[in-house]
Amino acid sequence: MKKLLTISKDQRIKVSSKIESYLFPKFIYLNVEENTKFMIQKRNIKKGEKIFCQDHKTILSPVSGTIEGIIEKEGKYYLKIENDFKEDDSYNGVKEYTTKALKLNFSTILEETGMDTTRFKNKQRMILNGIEDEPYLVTKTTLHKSYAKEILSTLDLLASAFSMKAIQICLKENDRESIEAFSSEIGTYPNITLEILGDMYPIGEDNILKNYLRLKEETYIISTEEVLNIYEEGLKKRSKDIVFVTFTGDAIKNPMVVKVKIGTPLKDIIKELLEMKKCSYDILLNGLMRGTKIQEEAIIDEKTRAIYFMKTKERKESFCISCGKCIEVCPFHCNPYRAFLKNEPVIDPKCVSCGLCTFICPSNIKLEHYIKGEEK
Amino acid sequence: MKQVYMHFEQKKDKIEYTLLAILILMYGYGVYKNGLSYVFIGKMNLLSALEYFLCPLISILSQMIFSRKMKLTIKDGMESLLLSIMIPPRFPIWCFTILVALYYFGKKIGTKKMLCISNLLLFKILTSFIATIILKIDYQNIVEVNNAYLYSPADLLFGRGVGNLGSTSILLMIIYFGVSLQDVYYKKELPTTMIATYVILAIIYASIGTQKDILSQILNSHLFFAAVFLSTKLGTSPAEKKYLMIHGIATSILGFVLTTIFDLQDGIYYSLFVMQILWMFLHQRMKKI
Repeated sequence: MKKLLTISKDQRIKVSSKIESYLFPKFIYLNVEENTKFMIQKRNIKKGEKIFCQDHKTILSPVSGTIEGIIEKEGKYYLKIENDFKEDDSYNGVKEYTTKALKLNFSTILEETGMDTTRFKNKQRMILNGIEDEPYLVTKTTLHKSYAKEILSTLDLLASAFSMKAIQICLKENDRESIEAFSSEIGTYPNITLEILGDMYPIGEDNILKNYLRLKEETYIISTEEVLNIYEEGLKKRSKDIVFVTFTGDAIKNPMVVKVKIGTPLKDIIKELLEMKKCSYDILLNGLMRGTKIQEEAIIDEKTRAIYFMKTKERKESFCISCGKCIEVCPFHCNPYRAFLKNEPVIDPKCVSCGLCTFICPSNIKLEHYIKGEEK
Repeated sequence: MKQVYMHFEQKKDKIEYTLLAILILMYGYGVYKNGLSYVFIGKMNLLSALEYFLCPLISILSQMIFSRKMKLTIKDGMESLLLSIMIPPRFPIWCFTILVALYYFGKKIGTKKMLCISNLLLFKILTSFIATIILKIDYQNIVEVNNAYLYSPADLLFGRGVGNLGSTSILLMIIYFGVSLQDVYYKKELPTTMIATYVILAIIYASIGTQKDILSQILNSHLFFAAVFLSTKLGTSPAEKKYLMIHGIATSILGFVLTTIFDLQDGIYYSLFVMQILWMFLHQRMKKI
């Protein structure tokens, strides 16, 4: 296996795992698409009520309030809901199970909630991928810190329900807070072990992790978010209506992790919680290596994990000096250099768009425009 | 659309300080060995011994002038300074001309990928060239000119010019290679294969031919300059490792044939440019595959 890179961090970019909450936005915007089937007949809705069905998934209202209608923002359509701040958790109807009942019937309980359990069947081992690959991202760390107990119990239930021999939790060596959080709880779960890995990129990529751990038996790699979804939806019968989002970057004075309602406009968080430096900045969603540029008008959705505010930098492309470094660093043996020479985008099924080729290029060539993986 | 915001930055301090330390030590040694030691025995006057301080001085001045426009770092200045004292004395003018032509030609054609050399290489070569021309140097010291004597292996390794170890020295080049290895973008496969092939060929040739002086063939400043510096900086050399090795071996074989059999002193430079052009055409064909 190829040697992976350690991405050196800029000391000027501060990260904090301090958690703030922003759970009562005035308006909520839920993304609607062409195939959305609406399930509501009235304008006033309660928190947890079914609103629409999208891609075989039922979306529940994250707040109680009044539906304002469908609006367009940056080419996307959103259902706008005005929050009346009257939400309560009475809709949850949490059914308490005994530990024994849970262990015996966990797969049935999951299936009842409409979850696909075939992915866990016939697997001998499960790996919890708790690695945060993107630099300055602490969302998973925050989840580990806040829900270590819940994650471990869910993993244990999954292991006994699907007869898995062992569970490994993979963490990076520099993620001390996560290591501490799991270490203090793991003692009661003899089948769960911690695997501490070096600070390399992109070790959090499932294929790389599997190769790195040299796993030969049937293994299922699960992410922290997936475990928590199982916990929330399967065990607690709650729909996911909040996300933890890391806010960081060199244009922000007070980096933090914000517990925020899905559908909250980013602008509200900037206005209410963040202190920005007086400079022009770019906003990047979900990473500095694989992120996408967004505007302040963006909406926080369930896939939002981090928002970076980075001082605007102009990077001038220069001649390719044929150093071959882009080929050398690619963990999947792709050849971005040849794609660049062809001067047209090449789709390589091996490419996972990790961005290492662009990262290493001394001529600042945006190689991610030339080589791409298949759309998933 | 996904975009990569981060960019790899080399830790330049380490390279800069290493270069600086080497430069001072080697330069001091050169001044002593080829200058002051002759002054002490009365074979050279002090002014002649210190004449060669001009070379680095010119390099520093030209670096200062150029750097305002080109935003060069200290490391680039150090490198060009090092180059100005290690560039072989008879580095051919045509080589400079082609390098400059390649730079502009490549830029004008706008292929972005082929036929070009970096601004930095051009700057370094020109700086060294200016220093060389101003000093009208053939890098031989006065004692040597007045009392011609044969090169010993030690001379070949440590040089004989005052403060200009590079005149005949490959030691600086070897150290430069060592320092360059810290640079992640340095194509180490090229110099390694080129020199290794050349050594093997020299041994084979000496065992079957009349040429017995293997050391003077191997410890050749032109070979080392072409392999360690020039070949690695040209954008027209391959990028993939396997091709780099093939390219290095082929360049070395052709260079050896031209130098030894056809008795061309600039043989290795001809070979380098022939191989660069050949690779360029091969590569154009490969692009279509």
